[in-house]
Amino acid sequence: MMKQILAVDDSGSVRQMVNFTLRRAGYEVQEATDGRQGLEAASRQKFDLVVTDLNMPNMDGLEMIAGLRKLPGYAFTPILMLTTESQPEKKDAGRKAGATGWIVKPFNAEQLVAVVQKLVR
Amino acid sequence: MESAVGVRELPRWQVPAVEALERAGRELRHALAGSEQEIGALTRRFLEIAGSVEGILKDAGLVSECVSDSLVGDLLTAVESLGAASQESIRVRLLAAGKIGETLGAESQLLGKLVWLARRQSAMVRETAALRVLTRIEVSRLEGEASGFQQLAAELDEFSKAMERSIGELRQQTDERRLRLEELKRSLPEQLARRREAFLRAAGGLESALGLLRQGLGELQKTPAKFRNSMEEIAGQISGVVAAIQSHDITRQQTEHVEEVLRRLGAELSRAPVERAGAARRALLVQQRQLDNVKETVAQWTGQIRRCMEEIARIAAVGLAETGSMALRHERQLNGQLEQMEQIEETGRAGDEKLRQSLRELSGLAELVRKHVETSRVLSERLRLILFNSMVEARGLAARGATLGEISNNIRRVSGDWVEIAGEAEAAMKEIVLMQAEAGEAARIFSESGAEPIRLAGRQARGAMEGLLSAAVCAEAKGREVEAATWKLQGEIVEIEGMSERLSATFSTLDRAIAEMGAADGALEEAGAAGDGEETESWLSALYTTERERAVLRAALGRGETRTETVEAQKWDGNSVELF
Repeated sequence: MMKQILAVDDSGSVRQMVNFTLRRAGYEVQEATDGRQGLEAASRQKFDLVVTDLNMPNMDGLEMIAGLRKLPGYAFTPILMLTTESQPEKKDAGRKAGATGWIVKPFNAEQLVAVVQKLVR
Repeated sequence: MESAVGVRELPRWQVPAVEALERAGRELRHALAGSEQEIGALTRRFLEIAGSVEGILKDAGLVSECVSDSLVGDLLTAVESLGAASQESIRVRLLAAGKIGETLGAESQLLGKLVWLARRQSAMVRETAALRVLTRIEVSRLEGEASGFQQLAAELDEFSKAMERSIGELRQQTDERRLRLEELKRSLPEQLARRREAFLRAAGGLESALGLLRQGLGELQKTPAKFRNSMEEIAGQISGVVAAIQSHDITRQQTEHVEEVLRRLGAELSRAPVERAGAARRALLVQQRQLDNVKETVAQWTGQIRRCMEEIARIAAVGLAETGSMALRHERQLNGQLEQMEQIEETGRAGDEKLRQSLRELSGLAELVRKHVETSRVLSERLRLILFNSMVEARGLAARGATLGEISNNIRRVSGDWVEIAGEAEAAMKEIVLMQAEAGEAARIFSESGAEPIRLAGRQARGAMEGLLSAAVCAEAKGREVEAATWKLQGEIVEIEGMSERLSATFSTLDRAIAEMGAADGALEEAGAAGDGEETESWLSALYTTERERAVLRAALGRGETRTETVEAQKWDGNSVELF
């Protein structure tokens, strides 16, 4: 069965690029437009990995990660932050919220696939 | 759009600046709306094209699978065997043709001897006729006393006539055979030279054809690797577009931030005293720099998308579509070579048959000689028997039979010679027949032993060819699909180029926004606002979400160089990845 990945970003183009890249690598990808939608999707279905933006309307990435970690079955699910932010304090906040890794946009397709393959086995 | 800050209520010095800021904001919102639409359309079109490219890759992958390593390897082995068998056949044929040539030369000499023997027998026939006449004269002189000699004379008569007929027939046949042989001998060296030349030419042609074939099949074996390379190149270009689209999105966010700043500045100016307008001027400067950076980045990534898409089309058209046609080209070339080899074999076989026919003609002559020798032997035996009785009779006649005794001795000598010559003719003929058998065997060996390995190798090559043919048909069909898809792709890429142009055009309104910001700055300067403001950096920095924006900010405020990453430097290596 194909591994399920949730891509959360308020930018449609970025969501589509993540979806396109991971689908080509053999993953099934679902999209959410902000943290709130992402949290709802994760509570309905178990995902093997979550890729999320940081700055989003309604609910940002950090808040969503904190929520996800409280959901049953998500304590150890890999969560990758995919953001334009690269400040150490932001990364630190991400780590504290429960993110597994940090990728600065724009991402490289091969690099993203390699990280996902490493985290999802 | 109605001003949110109520421009009409503002102090006089603030009005032109706030109005200019509002106009700049409108331009930016226009650019943002347009760019969002264009980036969305560009993304969708790219995904469609990427889908087409994936389809092309899949088809090209099937082409690559069609031409498997083992298939090419089998064919190469079969073709090598066929080449070796053909070379061996040519070698054996040349040897056998030489052997037949030698046999025909020796046969010609033996036939010469046969003719000489026949001449001698003719002389003996004449002598026998003379002895018959003498015998009759003597029998007539002795008036009935030599009745045995009378019978001898009759026998000699019959003997002469029978021998004359046999020799005549033999000489005629021998002469005809000799004539044909002479003609064959005259033409044989020329024929052999021609055949040798044709065989050597064919062997040379075969060798170079095999060389070309080896080279072609070698290239064909590289197809899967070439295909993998093309796929990797295409994957790299697709990554480039993925990064470029993200980057467009990032610049769009950057523009959004500028618009947000302008809105805040407008609100700030509407309530701030002129002394605080310095911070607004600094912020405006930063925003102008941000928009310059956006313009530059958009141009770079738009160009990058165009280059990547063109590259994808080029690789798809040249690298992949060629795969199918290459397989087919080699299949056709191979077929041509096999047909050539078969033709050489066919021509050789026809030549062999002519020689074998020539050898079979000898059989008739051998039979004639056998009959002639047999007739000679039977008649000689009968002659000897009668001669024995006649000699006894001659001795009984004493002195009167002296002449007959002399005649008898001569007849005995002629008869002996006759048998001896018949024996020699028989021996010569046996030798000819033996040579004929040897030459026939040589002809059979070169005709059959050379042909069998060729047939076997040909069957193997044909079998492998059928595999390649199916592969080539598959490759051609897929190649056509790939070609058609790449043509379609070319059209789509032209379209995406147009979309990139439109995206660039959307951002061209940034120039007007920058000009308006300049006007706002001019108004503030005229009102006496100083271009400083310590707090500017911190509140702007909080608004920006990318390192690029912060770098532009630092540079604009004189806190460092603008670290505008160029496409060349950044390419699509992606930014940092960190796992916690």
